[in-house]
Amino acid sequence: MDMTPMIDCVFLLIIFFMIVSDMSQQDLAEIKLPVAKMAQKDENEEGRMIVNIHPNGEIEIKRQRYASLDTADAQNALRSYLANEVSKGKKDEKGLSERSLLVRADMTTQFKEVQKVMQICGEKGIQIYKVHLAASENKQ
Amino acid sequence: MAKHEIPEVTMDLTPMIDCVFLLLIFFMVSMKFRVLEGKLVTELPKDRGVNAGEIIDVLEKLEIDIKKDPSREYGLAVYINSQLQQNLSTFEARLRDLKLQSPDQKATLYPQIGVNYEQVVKVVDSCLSANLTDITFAGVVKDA
Repeated sequence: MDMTPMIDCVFLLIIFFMIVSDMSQQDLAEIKLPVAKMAQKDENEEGRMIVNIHPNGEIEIKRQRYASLDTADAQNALRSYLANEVSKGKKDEKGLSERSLLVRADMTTQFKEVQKVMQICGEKGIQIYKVHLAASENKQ
Repeated sequence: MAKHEIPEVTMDLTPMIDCVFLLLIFFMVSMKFRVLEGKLVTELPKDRGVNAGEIIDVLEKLEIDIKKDPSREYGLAVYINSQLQQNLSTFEARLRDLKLQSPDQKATLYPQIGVNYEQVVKVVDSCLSANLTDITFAGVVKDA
């Protein structure tokens, strides 16, 4: 039996799935984002950090889930992640990081949880001011 | 001289096909389609936290308070400099007027306890829709 056409098809399928499955989305947790009509297209800019916040306030960074930011463990995890990432990037003359942070919170998450992330962003050694809010693009 | 017959050589493709099928199953199972996501571009105040007092704004910023109010649209009440806005449409219209009066107008959002992410996103969305792009967030959580 000539197997060549079948092998061709299977290789094509593999190539298709390799291209379609976007490994860069590994940082994106399964949460429901609110719709915003003015949402800009999110281009995955280089060095952009992502923090996911679940409805119960738990945070998720690079597929690692932590408790809410009321706990010291979660605060320290976020601090060390941000400080580590910021140290790799450029800073302006005032010492503020030029890298941006995308906050992806579930639509039902209390905004105070986002504000806790923002507070940590302003701490010494982190100083991120480009904090963007994730939203779904309005397709209507 | 005896004539040598060349034996037919066949390659066993079974292990390769096994591997290829395993790869195919892996990619099919781990596949996640690209989600259409966007972002609202906002910034934190540069003159807060460790940089307090370094930047002085000449232009007065608008203070936008966001409070939880289940009786209203999206369950939120929006205030511009302590003045309650009827709904998000009137809020947006007011912002447009203010933006026309002073094109460099800036705004600071004060979401209060009980307000959720969707409600803040709706307010930010209205601000951006009214062409008010210079938005910052108050870093401190205010009590209701």
